[in-house]
Amino acid sequence: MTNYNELQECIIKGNRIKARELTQECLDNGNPAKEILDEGLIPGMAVVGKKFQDGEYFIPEMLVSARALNIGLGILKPLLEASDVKPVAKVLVGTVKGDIHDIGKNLVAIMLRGSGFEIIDAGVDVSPEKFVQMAKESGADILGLSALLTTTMTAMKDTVDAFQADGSRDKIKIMIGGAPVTTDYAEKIGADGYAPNAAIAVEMAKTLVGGSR
Amino acid sequence: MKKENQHKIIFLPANRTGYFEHGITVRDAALELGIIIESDCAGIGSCAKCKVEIKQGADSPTIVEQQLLTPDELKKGVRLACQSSVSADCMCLVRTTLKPEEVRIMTEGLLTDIDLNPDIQKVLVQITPAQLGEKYFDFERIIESLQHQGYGISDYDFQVTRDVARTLRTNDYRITAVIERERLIAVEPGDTTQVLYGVVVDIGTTTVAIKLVNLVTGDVAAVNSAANPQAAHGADVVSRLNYIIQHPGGLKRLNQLIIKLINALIRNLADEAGIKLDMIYKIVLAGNTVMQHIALNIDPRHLAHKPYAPAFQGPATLAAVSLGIKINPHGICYAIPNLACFVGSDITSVLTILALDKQDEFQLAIDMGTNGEMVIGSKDRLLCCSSPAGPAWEGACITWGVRAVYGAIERAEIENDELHFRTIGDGDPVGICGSGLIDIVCEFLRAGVIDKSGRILNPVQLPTDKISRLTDFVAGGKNGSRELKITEIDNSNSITVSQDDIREIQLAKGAIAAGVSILIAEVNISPDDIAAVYIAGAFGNHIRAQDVLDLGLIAKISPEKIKFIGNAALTGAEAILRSGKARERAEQIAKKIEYIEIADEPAFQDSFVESLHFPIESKRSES
Repeated sequence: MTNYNELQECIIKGNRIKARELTQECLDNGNPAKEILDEGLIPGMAVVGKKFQDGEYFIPEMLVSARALNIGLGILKPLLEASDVKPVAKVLVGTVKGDIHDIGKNLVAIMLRGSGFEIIDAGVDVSPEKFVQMAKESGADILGLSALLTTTMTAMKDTVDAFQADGSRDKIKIMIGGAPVTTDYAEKIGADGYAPNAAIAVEMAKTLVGGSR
Repeated sequence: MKKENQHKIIFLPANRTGYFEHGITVRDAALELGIIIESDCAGIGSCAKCKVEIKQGADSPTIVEQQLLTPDELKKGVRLACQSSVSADCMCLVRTTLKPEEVRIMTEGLLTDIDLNPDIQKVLVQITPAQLGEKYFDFERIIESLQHQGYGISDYDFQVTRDVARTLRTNDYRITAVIERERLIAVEPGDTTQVLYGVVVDIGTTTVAIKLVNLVTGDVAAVNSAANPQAAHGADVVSRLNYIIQHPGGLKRLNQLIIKLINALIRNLADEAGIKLDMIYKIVLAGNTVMQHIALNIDPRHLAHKPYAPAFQGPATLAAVSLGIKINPHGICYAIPNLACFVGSDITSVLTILALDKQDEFQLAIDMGTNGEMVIGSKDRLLCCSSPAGPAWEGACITWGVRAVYGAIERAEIENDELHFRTIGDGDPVGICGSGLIDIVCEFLRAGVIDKSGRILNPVQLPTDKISRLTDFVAGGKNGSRELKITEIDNSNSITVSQDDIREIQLAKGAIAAGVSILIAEVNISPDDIAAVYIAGAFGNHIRAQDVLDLGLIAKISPEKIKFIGNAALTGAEAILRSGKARERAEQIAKKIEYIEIADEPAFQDSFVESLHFPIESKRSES
């Protein structure tokens, strides 16, 4: 049984070089990719999420840890696919039309990725039509919409409506987040949920896919 | 006089009486009478600071009041002014209203080059009674007399022609003409040339500052500030815009809130200076673009979306009475021109009194408001941008944050592991204003209690040789985070700086620093090349040059180049009130400045994230 503390520590401290070395070393020692993911990378990122919630970590620390995580994930990904290990679910994330703020969206993507979700990032200023198209192409289970401004959050409603009009609304769960957004707003526009921060977004994503399967 | 369905309210100790419709809140009624009841939550019923005592005729306390007030208070008739409404004649005792001398507004010696030569002037006119057979139109003879004295009149307020015959004949043909540039706006009986006042207002998103100036002597008669009551409808300009978009009548409501506050502030200044409102003939308005649109009752909604088009740039000269501003009924309002969608007339004012556009080398000016506004300039180029910093600098959204009022911690210093602080007016500490907050964060940073990531270090994890008495300031806060205990105010409460407060400061300073770095890159120089950095803001006290560097507002520049210029928007507006030349200069600057929209630049967000850390090597670090 390999001790994954050191690998977890690399993720927590955001040490990219060591994260690469240790992930490779674990593989070389014959550990399954799935085990390295579940016992090294994911628990490491869980600690990062906790530190962020407690105020120990701030945005830059999260981003540094995310880079280390991504390096580890990059090494494991082909092996996970080859051994037919499925991600928890696929999440399409993006910032809505008219809004170019991506920090919040990126933090949510990081925490989801660190919890075993596969992330498809649509980027910023994404039109409702683009979201519909990308959801189809990727087969995403969940759509995560972000908006920072009170003036752009209305594009969330447009996006939900676009899925309705397309007839594919029931194929995807939609969760929303961002400074001006509330649970009430999520309900009002017909989204499936609102997450006030990245940690809750992970919990919500788990619940949403749990409910649909 | 009292009408049907109205109630009489007497406010003490100001002893002002008014008649109000049934159901108006005590807070709104007080504001109508020029009594500003301070609160932090702008009247949404969450801060419980607007306590008043209602002596007779109170309605029953609301649920909010029952929760926020103690049974003792309720028994004594203590109510929250924003919650209790008027349902009968009553008497109301207000203890929390701010006295002007309890407000700190920094205005530095920036007006030395400004002559007292205002656009608004009074000129004595003495004519002789017309003889039969002469050209004897009263009004035209006054114009002629003014022209002889060197005052060309090209326009006039028609009301003057209605007043003039009587005024002349009841005062031995001796009158005082009031002229705004080439426009005759009023005549007063006799010689009143020694009495002329003007007011300047800086309408910030969070704080409104105001100054009364004697335009005959040049003396400042009084200054004051108050929280912007629009804050109840959003902390920043974007949420105010959204309020207007989403609520029919929203513009009117926000407009009325600010006009009523301005009227209340003017009335208090006039009382303090012992003058009549009639003696004030001019009001000069500065403020960010959104605030100015709202104050002028111009719909700003298109500022909310790309391409963020303001309805107007200005300048605008209009009758004060048309805005509902209560000065002399013939008085003039001058709105200083804006520069761009989110760079307002407040920055025009700042630039008017600086000389960025006249220097060989580049200089930088930063107005650290809720909306951070920055300008870089030399004689060749003048370039501005804005970035959303949030209201932390003015003490809003900070646990113990307050505006620069009596009792606010405005200065703090760590010496031999002891924290020393000073409050405004040496009052008992009530909270921390912007300058105090910056001092505290920077001092604890330099002491190594906060690390460069902004984290309050856990004393338990420090090696024993690194534990100093300073770590005793670190306490457990809410949700497992830590906080700095600054001082106890009573047995159960301490003024603190929480981890979240430090994060707010980081977000605010990151936004400013990112804007600055983009401006510097845009003019293709390095920070070293900048000859001077001017920092303006309503923090309370000076920001130390070392703090500017340790916050990381600007990278690697020698501290001697950094100058703090206080509430420079208000000072600049004052210059424009005092001098027609300064007004012309403001208008020229508005024509020639360039603007770059940075919030939509991907480079801005990268730079913002990079700027969140403090560029300081802590003396201690966690091992």
